[in-house]
Amino acid sequence: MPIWIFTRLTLNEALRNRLIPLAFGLTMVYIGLLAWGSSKIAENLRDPLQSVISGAGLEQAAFFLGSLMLPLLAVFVPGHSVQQESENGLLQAILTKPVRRLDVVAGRWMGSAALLALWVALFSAGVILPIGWEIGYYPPHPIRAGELLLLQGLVVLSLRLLFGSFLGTLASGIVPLLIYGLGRIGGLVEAIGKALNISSMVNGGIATSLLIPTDVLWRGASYYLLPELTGLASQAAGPNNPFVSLAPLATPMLVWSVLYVVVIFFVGARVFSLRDI
Amino acid sequence: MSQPDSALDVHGLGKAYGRHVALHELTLRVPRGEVFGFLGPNGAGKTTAVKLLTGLARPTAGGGQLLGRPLGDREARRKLGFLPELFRFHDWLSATELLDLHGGLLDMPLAARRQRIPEVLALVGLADRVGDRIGTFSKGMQQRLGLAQALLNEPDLVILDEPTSALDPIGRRDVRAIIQHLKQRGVTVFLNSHLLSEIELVCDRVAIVDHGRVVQQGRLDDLLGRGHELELRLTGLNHDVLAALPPAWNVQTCELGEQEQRLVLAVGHASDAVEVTRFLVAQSVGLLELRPRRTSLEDLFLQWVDGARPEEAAPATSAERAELAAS
Repeated sequence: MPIWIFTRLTLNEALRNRLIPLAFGLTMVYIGLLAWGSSKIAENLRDPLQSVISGAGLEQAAFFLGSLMLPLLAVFVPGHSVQQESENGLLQAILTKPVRRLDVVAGRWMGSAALLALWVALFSAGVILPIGWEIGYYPPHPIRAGELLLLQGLVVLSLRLLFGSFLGTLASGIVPLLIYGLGRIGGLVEAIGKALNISSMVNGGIATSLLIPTDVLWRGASYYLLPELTGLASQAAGPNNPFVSLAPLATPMLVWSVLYVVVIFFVGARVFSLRDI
Repeated sequence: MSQPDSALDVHGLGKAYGRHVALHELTLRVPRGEVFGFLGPNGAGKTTAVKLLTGLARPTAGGGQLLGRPLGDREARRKLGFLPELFRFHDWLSATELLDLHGGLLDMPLAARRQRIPEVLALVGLADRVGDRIGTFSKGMQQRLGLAQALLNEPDLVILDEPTSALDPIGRRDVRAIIQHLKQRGVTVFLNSHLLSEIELVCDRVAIVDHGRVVQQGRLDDLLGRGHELELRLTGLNHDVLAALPPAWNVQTCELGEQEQRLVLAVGHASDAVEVTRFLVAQSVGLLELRPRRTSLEDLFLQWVDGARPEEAAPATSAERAELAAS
């Protein structure tokens, strides 16, 4: 099946490309630092309640930074600018074989998605386990948090695929990151609107989330990292923290996010299938 | 309708990018088993044509068939080999890994890949570099590897776009030998090149394209054969002998000097030299020198491309040109 050939090619390329081993290595350094910080915090903790609040606070802060790293990884995994690959001639010998162009992009996308999933699994375990061991706090739904974090990465990955079908490597990497940044700002506007009770700001934030659902996915993930008791959760998150959510992700928004990934992927694949190489 | 004995058959194939027309109504037929040369100056539309034939780009006009299936059809590509002009491969793979990747894309079973990969690498002279990373290869070696991937599936049709652009003279000779080997095996070769000497050595049939249009096409022998000329240096030639010349031999140039005479005859074929010699000897004309002159592909190419186009009423054959030169 050509689709698996391209998945394997992407994974092989990522392993032999120095960027990916380096990115995973630096993530391990980040996790090591976090484990060391957790042990230092644990030394100063007096009661179990304080452990929950400190552990959950540290966890959501660590995951927040992870949610910033993941889109960078999504745009820099190799092989996603077909524009670049068609300009430099790499695709010519490949697309004249009996393969469908959809197989090329789907295989590439799946290889990259597998890498992101691996990174999210390693990162989540690397954050949750040391904090659990040292401070004694384990989030209630770590897998759901990881899934939403990964979905955020897949949104950026699909955008990269779409823009990579007609923009060069640099531009097709930068544009999804700018759109991702737009999502962050929209989320912030919505959170501030909620805190100040300004409905137009809330609506503006929701509209941005429809356009780019990454921030709302992060908020959904953050909810599953905090303790289930709302009082404890708001203490762990900090007063009026505009970057986390104390409510779960609304199902329609989850459905929209999954649809968003699928639609953007197929639009990107279609643009690639119709273009001249 | 495509003819079953055609490897390639296209009618009115055109490509426009907005208002810029890269290729005008390309109509050509490449019979199976022949080596077809596709010539033209830079920017003539050759690479655009190749991209349309291989399905990398979509035509904006016309259409055609490749190995009996519509252009761009996936199944036809199973028996197609293609070496792009801009060849570039995943440079982090080894030569064997790259061919294994392409073999997989061609649906070749593992056993077939294991047998065929060393064969094609040996054929293109890379047998000693099988495990080396492509990133360490020179341009010429990468082009050889490109040729290997084009031949991996034992194709029925091989399209080679400037296959010797990065090769030294030894490499060019090797590619010529491979093309001849393919021809012996009945493989059709579509050779896109601006190296006229290369085309002249290996091709059965040519098409010359300029400014996106085919300006001349046909069997190479027919195109070049039209211009067979014999240049003679003689003694004893006079008007009576000239008048007795058979009408099939056209006098292009005649200089009747006192000591010796110079004569240029346009003949049907180079072998007519024997008849000409016999005739002159029978007429008691002394033969000092006889030199066959054949129109080279370069002459033909320049005639059709270098400013002398049919619409400018330029001489179509070397005979007419010689007449002009003599006058």
